Amino acid sequence: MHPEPTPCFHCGEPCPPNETLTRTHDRETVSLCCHGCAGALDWIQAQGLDSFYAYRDQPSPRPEEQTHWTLFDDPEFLQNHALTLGNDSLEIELSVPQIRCAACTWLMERVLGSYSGITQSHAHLGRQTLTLRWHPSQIKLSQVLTQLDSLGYTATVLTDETARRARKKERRSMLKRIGVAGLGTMQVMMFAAALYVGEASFIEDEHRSFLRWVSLIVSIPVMLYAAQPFFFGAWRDLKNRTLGMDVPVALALGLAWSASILATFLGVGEVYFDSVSMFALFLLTGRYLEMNARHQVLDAPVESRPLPMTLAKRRADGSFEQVPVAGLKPGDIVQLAGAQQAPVDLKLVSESGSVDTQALTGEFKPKTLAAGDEILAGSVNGATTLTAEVLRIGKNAFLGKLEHLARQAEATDTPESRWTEPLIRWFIAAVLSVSGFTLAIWWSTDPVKAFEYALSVLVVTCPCALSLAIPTAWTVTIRSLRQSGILLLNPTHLLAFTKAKHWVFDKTGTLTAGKFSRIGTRLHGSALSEDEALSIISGLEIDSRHPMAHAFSDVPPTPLEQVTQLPGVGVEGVLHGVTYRIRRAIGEEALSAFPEAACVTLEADGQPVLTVALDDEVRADARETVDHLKSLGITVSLLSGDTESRVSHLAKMLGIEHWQSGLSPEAKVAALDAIEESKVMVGDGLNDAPVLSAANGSITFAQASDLTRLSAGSVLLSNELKTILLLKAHAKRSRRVITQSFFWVLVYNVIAVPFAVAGWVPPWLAAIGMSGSSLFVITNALRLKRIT
Amino acid sequence: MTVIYTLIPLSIILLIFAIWAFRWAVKTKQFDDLDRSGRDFLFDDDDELHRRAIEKDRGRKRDDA
Repeated sequence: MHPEPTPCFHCGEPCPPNETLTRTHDRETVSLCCHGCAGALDWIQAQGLDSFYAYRDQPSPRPEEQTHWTLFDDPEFLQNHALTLGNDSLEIELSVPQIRCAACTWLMERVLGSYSGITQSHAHLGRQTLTLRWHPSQIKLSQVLTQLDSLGYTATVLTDETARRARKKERRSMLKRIGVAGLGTMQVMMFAAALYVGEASFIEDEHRSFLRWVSLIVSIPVMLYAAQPFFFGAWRDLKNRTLGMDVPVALALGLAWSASILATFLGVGEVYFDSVSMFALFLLTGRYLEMNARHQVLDAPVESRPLPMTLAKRRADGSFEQVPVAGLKPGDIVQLAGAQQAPVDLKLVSESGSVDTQALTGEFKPKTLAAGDEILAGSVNGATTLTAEVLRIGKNAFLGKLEHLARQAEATDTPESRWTEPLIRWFIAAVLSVSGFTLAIWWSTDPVKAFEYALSVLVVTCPCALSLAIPTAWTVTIRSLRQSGILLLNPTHLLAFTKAKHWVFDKTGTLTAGKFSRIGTRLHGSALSEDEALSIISGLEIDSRHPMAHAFSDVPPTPLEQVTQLPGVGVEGVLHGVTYRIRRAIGEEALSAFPEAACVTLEADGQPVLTVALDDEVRADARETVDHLKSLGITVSLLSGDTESRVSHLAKMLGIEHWQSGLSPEAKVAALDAIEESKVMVGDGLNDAPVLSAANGSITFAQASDLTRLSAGSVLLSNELKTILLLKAHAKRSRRVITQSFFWVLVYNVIAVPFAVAGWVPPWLAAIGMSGSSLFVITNALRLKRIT
Repeated sequence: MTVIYTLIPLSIILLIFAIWAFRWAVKTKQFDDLDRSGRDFLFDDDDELHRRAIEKDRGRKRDDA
């Protein structure tokens, strides 16, 4: 019935039908969906940056109207968020989530380069940030940001500047270590190749000793600089009386290296400079990848909404002025603009209002408030401007408390995260005592030989392979999960994903889509067909930020004239002389089949035309996911803060037998703790943050808030619930590979150690065994790369 | 085989240089954004159209003043 809508040339969204916005680009006529996009195209052309459209490989962001930029000129705000450089210039790093392709970075830098007050600009594609250096006396930052905004790039301040900078430094220092280890390893391996060939054919003692000395010199920076983190980590572990992963690594590196140094000095035995360097390089690379995945999540901005947490207004002699949030105190009177997020806990002073608390509770229906009601930090205001009193700030605010709860739950370590510890402890003890034993029995015969044999026991047993088994499997798993759209933040959770017999789900936003969808319609009279009526609703709602508008985004909109928002009532607009209005359904108009749903009615000149029932929709893959888990013998349960009737309805629909409703964040943690077996939690609301940290394994969605994502062990980027099954499959394979590697190390040791103790293993064979073992473990881990 | 006494120290000097070069590259942010660097060369540094537009813009501002 509707012709296929033309995609907008700038943003790629469908253009409204009958739309006449066109421009000429590259001698061709192109259509644009809105004035924002047309403005962006005009400006890009005026700047002579037309090539942007040829460079880009993705549609550009659609500009939306923003007004908050003056805050960026506030000296106090800048002092908190920008870095003061010499010669009166400032530097700020902003998050720009709309940076999608390399052409975006090109366009932004060209645009910024044409301002004379800006000395430097760098857009970062990987982290979606923009770094700016400017002279505040020559140019106002708000002017620049308004321009970028009109192109569709909305800058946001980063959450925690200092922590972010520290992470960047940490990444760089790790990269430098990898560089040193990599270059050193290549060099040492070259000398080692000469030594091996020399052993096999003929080498003069003089040359051999020279090559060993050179290897020793090159391995010094690798051991003392590149491998430093392992030694410090092991030292920390030992001081805390635990045996972490760093202990066997440091032990293997330290022993093999000191033995090689000793052998070089004495001119006897065998050297392992190549093996230790390579070992350090592999481990460092693994750590770096793991760190990168973690930082990627930590660096992401809190919310995609513009400027969260940074702006509010305070009354000074009756009028309002912009102040940074940091300057607010309890008792201050502030104004919260439409669609703005509350940065601190507030108490409503205006008579009434409504807020969207989805980020906090996952509840998508707006909450209606009366004077005196609390607005928790993180709630988003509805359409009208509200006046409110500041109630609590910082750590005392709701957000601060949730964070505290989450940290508390995290501090109580689960025994599963250390499952390999007893094994490693046992292994190290065994290796050391067997070496000691070898030394003791040969000592009386020949002290030099005794030392050589003891050393070959140490080398043959190869703690390297053992310590490589877990990190290599994890590294490869993290990478292949990343390709499937899953960020694994805490690899120790992999065990829980395979072992847990109890999976707990949150309701809104996890098992359901967390947004309004149409679940039923009822036509009144026959003036319009259902499709026509829906298209009018879509036209009325197109510019609305109201959560209900989302339910109509799939319907091609009919453009209306004089569209006005009627606060507290609805929206109205005119088409062909008829006034259409959307309002709440009244009386018998509501659909009795859906008692829980919100119903809205479209009326034409006061006559009802169509009533639509809207409700949260169950995710399309929820049933499939739950059924799959149940078929594996897993108990599935549902913990929700929602009302009993809604929770029981959903539980029945998905076949979930265990469910609890009306739970506060604390009650959720208590309910989870009551489950004794190992458990996995899947949730997305801010109120799920504590319960996510309390579980043995936890999963959340990319749209979840900062705190929630940090509390979870893994983040699903795809927003598809069934991805958790993929995660489970990957976890299982990674565990199998780790077990195989352990088994191999064990079998190999049982065979090789008696020979070594007896002194029948020549050093070259020990070296082959050691490298072979490590190679086996690494190639075994690499098998995880194949995605099923 | 005495040649190795010259060549190996030489290779170590080269190694020191390589490590220094890598550290320099890390410090000057060359490894910060690997997603972007691979494509940057595709874009013109000096776009004729853009340059003319800026000059026109500056000229206009001067006329206004």
